[in-house]
Amino acid sequence: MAPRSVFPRSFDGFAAIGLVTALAALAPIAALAVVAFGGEATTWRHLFVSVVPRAAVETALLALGVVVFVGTVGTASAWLVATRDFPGRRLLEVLLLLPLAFPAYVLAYSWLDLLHPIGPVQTALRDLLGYARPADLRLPDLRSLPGAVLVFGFALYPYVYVATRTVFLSQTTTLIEAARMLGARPARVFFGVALPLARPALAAGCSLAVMETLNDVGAAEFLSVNTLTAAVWSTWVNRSDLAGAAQIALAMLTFVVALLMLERLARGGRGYAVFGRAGRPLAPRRVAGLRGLGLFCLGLLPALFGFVFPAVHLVRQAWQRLAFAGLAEEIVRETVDTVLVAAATTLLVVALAALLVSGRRLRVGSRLSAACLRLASLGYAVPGTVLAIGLLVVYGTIDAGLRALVAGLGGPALGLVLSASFAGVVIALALRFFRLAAAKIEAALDRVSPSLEQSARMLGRRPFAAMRAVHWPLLAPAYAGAALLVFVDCMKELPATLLLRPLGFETLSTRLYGEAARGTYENGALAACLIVAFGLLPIVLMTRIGRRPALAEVPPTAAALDPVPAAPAAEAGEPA
Amino acid sequence: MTPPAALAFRAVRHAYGRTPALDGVSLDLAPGEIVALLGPSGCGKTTLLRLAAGLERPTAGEVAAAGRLLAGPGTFVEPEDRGIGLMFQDYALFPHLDVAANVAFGLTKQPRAIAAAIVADLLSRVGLAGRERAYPHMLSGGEQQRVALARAMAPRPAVLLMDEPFSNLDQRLRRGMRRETIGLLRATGAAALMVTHDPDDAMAVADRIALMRAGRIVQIGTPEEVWHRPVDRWAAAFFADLEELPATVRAGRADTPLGPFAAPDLADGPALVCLRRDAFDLAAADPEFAATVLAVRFLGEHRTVRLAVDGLDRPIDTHVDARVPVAVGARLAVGLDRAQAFVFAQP
Repeated sequence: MAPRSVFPRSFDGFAAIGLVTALAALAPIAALAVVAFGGEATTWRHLFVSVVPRAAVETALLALGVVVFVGTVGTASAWLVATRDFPGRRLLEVLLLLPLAFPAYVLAYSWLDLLHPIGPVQTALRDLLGYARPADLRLPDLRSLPGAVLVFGFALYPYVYVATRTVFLSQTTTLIEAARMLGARPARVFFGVALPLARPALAAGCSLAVMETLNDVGAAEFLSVNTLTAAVWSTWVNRSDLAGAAQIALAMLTFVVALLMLERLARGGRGYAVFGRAGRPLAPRRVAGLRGLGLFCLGLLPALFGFVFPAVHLVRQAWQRLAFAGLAEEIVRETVDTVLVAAATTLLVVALAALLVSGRRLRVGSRLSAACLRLASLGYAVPGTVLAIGLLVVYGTIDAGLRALVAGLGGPALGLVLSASFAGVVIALALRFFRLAAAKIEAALDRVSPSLEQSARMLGRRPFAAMRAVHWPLLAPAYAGAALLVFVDCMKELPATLLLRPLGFETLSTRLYGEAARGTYENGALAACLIVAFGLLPIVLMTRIGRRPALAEVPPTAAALDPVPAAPAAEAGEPA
Repeated sequence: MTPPAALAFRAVRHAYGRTPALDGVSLDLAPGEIVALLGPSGCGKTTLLRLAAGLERPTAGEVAAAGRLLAGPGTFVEPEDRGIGLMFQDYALFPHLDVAANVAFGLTKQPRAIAAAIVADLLSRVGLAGRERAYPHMLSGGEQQRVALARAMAPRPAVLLMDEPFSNLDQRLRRGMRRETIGLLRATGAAALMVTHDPDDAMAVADRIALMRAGRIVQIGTPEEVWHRPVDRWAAAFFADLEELPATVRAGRADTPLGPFAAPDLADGPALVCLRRDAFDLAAADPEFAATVLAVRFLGEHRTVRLAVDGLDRPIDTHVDARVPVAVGARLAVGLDRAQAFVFAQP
């Protein structure tokens, strides 16, 4: 085959926008490498002897604990609601999703307050047992590695729950029925048939949970777990050592790459859960009476610890605070600021994702378009702190360049343009969540026959006009769905916002972080409530879609779960 | 001087990655001519169609239309600039637009009133007047096919490309649609290139049939030519089932248990005599061989009869006139229609 030149035949507006986006996604990673290797060798040695090994071990232990917890709880609860019919099953299906509304740092925040020595749980316990002073009754401290595993586990098991439930509900129906007709008992049906088939989904869900764990900066800090993220964080924030932070961040990226390779290994390189047709859902086995009630209570536990208890506590705290001090003006301003950041990012991300995804389809065989889409998706695999440190460097370089340029032209002294700016935060969040929108839009576009836009071309439309005439109207629901996902994730985002925001600029999440750092938990309760309330939006939508026959449709977040959510680079070599 | 071809392929090659799809194809369509690309799936016929549409780029060779180079070394005209119509196999009707808007989609250059008149005229021609406001999902398969045809023809393309246009229709609808499609093409004078794997479609619609195999055109000619003078055993078998008899050619004659067959162009050596199923005549005035009836099946328009031929170790299947009754076990004297017999050299 004759080599197909990339330029200039396939170069157009789509390719230009794709190229800019891809370069923007690559810049922070490249900057990290440059700064890290530009640092002094002595810091390298210090970091990699005294800081990194301990943090890496703690991170690995935490990740391992989270995988075991979310794998077990997520798969078991999915299997329970997919294959057993008991009173309250429908309610439980929805309740089990709710912890998705809790970012790990909000859950940690809420539980720390709940279990505080003078908090409601311990006070009630003392009253019950007749102790007078907090020192008389010592409970194990939540601020420990096992405590962190529990908090992350309860916050993140829904990723596995959503992924495996989809498989159990629709894709394995005939195979499970075949196993039963061949005389397999429930245990063998589960371990012999359903679980192996759900393995790719399980691996995807677990890796997503670990990515979230690595991304987190708030919960680990609140719970006194010294993860790599926390090490990056403190190296920059407390010691202002950018090179050191970049070095640890690079080490962390290695960790992420290793994790993604592990995930591919765990999926067995096979996509065999894919072949199952999403058709008739499995008819669950009826369990009535006391045993049914027992199953309901068992299934309720993750939802109680992951959502109900902390949510009730937050609402009560927020209510008391409102009754005591009224609605503070700052919380209104912070909410507006958070919405502004999230809305601006959402607009940017959905527009870029729509253009890049459509552009790739309209430019058949253009490797440039495909590569740009993959590269632009990189940010989702990079923990927020790492991305932010990289962007600090990029922004600083650009600002210095602009300053020199303006000074050289005889202009006035230029301040910061991108560093510590609103635009800087928006760009960071856009790079971080591009993949979320792109995956959702791509999944929807896969269901639109390419012959539609080809028809439009044959009837005289240029590529962009074909996109406007065909893709826009057909993909409008997917754009809206993608916008909602990105919007909510921006509202919850903590590390990148915290590192890159302008001076004095507070979002709900940074406010919460600040109050927790000061130990003034009750002041952050309202912000926490608002974050969780926004987080409930996509879940409400998800369950409304699911109302139609037996939740056969894949819920929105599953778009992020399939296929390999965060391994765009690794997948680039495979046929689309 | 003859007018330039409405569509011309010159030594066109194409490959998907490293898999070759077209291996040097040349083909000319005269203005107003209907040509069928006939072949099994994977022979490259759809690729050739997509090259003409501009949805793929040839790796070598040229595509031209009415004397204008569309694709070749250093030249590539985008699909929207080619003025060629394409009907997709799945029709590709825009689900969010109604019938009238679908048909009017390619009429952006005409004033609104003229576009509306063209749409109304085309819809009445394909028998869909009054269905303007219907959406694609409300239409039957045949109606969708008509909308796709009207939409592709609305901008008055000089060439219409059709990808398996009748494959989604049942037999009865198919006959009607073939007639309507030819009628509309003749009325507008457009040339057409139709991809199909169904010999019946090709014979019913095309002026010329290009038979394709493994990325090449193996034979091209009128339906009569390709039916009566197949270039090889494969080309003959593509149109209808064959009975094959091994034979030996000696001095321009192939001898078989059914008698001798003329083979003037073949060298001496092993050969294959191929007979179409309807080459046999059970009530012939001048029979050529004797046979015993093994089994009979009545199929309405014809009767299949399995014969044991004296001197042949394997039974042969024949299609005969259903009006002639045949009994199992009967001894028959069988005649042959030699126009339905072909002798090919044994490869």
